[in-house]
Amino acid sequence: MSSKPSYYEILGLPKEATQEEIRRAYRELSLRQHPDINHSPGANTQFLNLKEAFETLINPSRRKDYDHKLVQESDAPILENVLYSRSRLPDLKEPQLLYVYLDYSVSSKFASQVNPTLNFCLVIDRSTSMQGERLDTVKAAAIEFIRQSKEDDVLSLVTFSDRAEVVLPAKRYPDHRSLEAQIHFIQASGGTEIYQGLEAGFQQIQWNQNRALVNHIILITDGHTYGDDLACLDLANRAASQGVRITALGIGSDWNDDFLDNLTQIAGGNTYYISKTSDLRKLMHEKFNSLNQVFAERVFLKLKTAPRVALGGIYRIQPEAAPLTASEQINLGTILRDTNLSILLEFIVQPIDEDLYRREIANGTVNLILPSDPGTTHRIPVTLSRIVGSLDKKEMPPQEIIQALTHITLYRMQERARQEASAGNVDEASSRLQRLATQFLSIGEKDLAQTALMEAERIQQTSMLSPEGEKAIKYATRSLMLPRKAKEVRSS
Amino acid sequence: MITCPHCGNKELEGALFCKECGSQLLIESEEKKTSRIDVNSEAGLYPTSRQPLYSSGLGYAPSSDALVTLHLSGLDVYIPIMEEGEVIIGRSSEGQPMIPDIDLGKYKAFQSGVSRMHAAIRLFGNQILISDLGSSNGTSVNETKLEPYSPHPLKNGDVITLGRMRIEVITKDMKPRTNSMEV
Repeated sequence: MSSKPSYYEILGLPKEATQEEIRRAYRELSLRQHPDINHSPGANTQFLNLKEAFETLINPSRRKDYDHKLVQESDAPILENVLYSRSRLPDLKEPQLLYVYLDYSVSSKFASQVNPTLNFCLVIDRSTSMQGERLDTVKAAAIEFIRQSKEDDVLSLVTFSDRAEVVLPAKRYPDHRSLEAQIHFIQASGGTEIYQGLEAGFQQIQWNQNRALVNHIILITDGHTYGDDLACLDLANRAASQGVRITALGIGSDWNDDFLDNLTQIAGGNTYYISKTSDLRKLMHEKFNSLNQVFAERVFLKLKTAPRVALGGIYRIQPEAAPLTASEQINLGTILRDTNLSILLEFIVQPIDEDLYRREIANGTVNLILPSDPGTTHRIPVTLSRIVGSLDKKEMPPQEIIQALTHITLYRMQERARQEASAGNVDEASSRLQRLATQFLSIGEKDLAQTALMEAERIQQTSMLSPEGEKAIKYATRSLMLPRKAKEVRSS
Repeated sequence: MITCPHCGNKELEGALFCKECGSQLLIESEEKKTSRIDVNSEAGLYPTSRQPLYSSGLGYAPSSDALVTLHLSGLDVYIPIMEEGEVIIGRSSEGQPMIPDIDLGKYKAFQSGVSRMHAAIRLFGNQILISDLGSSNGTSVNETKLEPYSPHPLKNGDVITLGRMRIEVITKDMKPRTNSMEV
């Protein structure tokens, strides 16, 4: 980031400031900074800078050149782009919704960087239910994963049932093939205590954990954990604060999706549903590729909403589509070189009595570190505001926002149906699933529509959703949120 | 507040989608009136009920309020579409919980090869679009077969074929039976 303040910073304005605002800011500042009034040393230069800033920004063509130059000369590694559902905020006497799409991409100056060095741990459930094809597939996928890794990657492997064993302690292994025999020896037996495995895995990561590495735990399980969920969530928080992310792969239908979603969300990762064991290898392969695309880690959003504004919801659209929970510090995960980080925020804006020209929505920062330059914590300011005024009736929100919301709406519908189902509201849940099926059909998702319809009927008969159907709908709807381009990449 | 034209649910100003039924609300923002969709006694029924949204049993002439009227060729049946938005054409069948907005079940739709969810018509400003919903026997406009899920514009006088069922499109302000004019 350049040390010289930009013209916008001199005038104290956002990049999208209107002519009116530029004129107003200049008038106010020049009253205070004019050398006739301000006698402090350097007042003259300060005023000349202000004048230069005003004269550049007030002239549309000079401003355009200047904006272009700002982007060109910027040495910021991450570029920010902000889209709003409305160009202006209508002055209403009732609450209204405003959607904001935040998009972060790697500046082209940094895009050609080499793959980062990984510090990863595979944490594998070897409980009795994994016996047979499941464990065999997991072993094969783990071997593939390790084979692909680079010589300087730090790797470790932990298995767990009701206790954990370190199969491969964390270090750099010169010969990855020699490790395969140890993986083949893994046997299934015992129960599922996820905390045991996570704790042992986290410890392995911590031996070598540092800011220059991509520190990552991949948890593979097929079961429910009992009694230790709070300990797991606590561990996830510790992991997040040390920049260790967790990805969970749930095999079959007997694992607790709400728990794993919660866990991985805290730790900046994501949960994947594996209905067929054959999908596991493909998913692990994708995961490996995306870890090698990591550019920024410990990406946290700190956001404070303005008075009478509330955050109604927050969703990560890509690289991994998932709902996020609003908190003081939201773990956004990572920024990849080949996929932007895109976030959709829903704000509920209550009316206020004041007559404002521009209304603040929220302020904060996105903080992140680059493993390639671990010494610095980068802070990208997030300032969200809108000019108050009436809208052109024909105005359409940006395509990105419509696209994202189409699928978020479906995701929210299935969440509601699940809540209704577990509360015993059979009719509501059933008709909601039918409506969901109609929407799936209208976007061409025939199989999903079929699943939703089957579940709508099933709940009428058994008062319950099937665990497979429930998970299939949830995770498929979630992956619909990915923008089309990203989806094509994933399926290719 | 915005009222969802499909299910009557109330959403906050600025909402883009209905939380209840998932429909897009954008196109409705132009006019604030929320009139009922049907002209018949079945008015007020929501798409989720086990009744089709568009009653199509009466052989009434095209309503002048309709934005678009679908005329089933060879039958004296006119189905009006009164509001902007999306409607799904198909046929209901027993034991199936979903009912399309326009149910052609009564007109030998099954024998004519109409799928349960055959095609969707979308009205948006001055545009009318039809997309095939991956139906078994396909959808054609003026004998040109459509790719599934890719919207195709419709104009007055176009003939849609669902399976073997032919339907003439009559748009607002146009007299029925005017023959298609190529533009």
